[in-house]
Amino acid sequence: MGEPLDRPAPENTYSLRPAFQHKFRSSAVKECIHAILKENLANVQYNPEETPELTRSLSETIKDRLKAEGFHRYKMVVQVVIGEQRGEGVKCTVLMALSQYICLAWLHDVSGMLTLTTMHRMFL
Amino acid sequence: MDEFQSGEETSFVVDEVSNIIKEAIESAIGGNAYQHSKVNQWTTSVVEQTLSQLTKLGKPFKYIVTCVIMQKNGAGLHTASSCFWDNTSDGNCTVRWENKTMYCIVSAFGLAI
Repeated sequence: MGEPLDRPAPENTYSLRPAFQHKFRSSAVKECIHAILKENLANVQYNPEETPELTRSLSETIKDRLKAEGFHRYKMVVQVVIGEQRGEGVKCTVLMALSQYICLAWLHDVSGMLTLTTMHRMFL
Repeated sequence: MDEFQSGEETSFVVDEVSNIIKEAIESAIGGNAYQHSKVNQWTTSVVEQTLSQLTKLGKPFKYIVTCVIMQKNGAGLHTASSCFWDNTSDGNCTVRWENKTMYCIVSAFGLAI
């Protein structure tokens, strides 16, 4: 009696890292965020009533636009900080464990607003 | 077949994280007045302390911690965040702290692996 044929072992198909084509392109994301900020903050002045809504809608817009870019298997967190620029210091430190981020600071001298946008993403 | 643990051990517990953040802020800038030259050091210290305490919890999470320290000067500050994640397992916690001379806002996001 012959020996049973070796069954081919099933290969692992769950990828732990994104394929090269799907690798996160930070320059593309930066462009995208930059465009959104430009569009929304072009002639805006700091206004205590309207700015909270603006901050919230900016972060939603950025998140939705990035979702539409189609980054498969990524979770993302977008944070927008808008501060009134009155000449005093605003210091912001971002530190993370095992994640990659993109940080964009947009300084408006004219309207007196400092906007800091940070986008973190995590591969699932 | 082994089930993955679910419940306390693998969920983002807001109270626990909030306490960790408060302790980190107190120990880093507790009794201090705003000083422009020290702020960088303070924010780094708050964030590092928070992160190390969070990782000590040993949960299967990736964390993102941000800290903003602002001098009390009458100027406004707004923050908003938008997240695309799994609502059942991921969470965030934001702590606002102040003393006579400054505000400190720390946000911690936890994303389940």
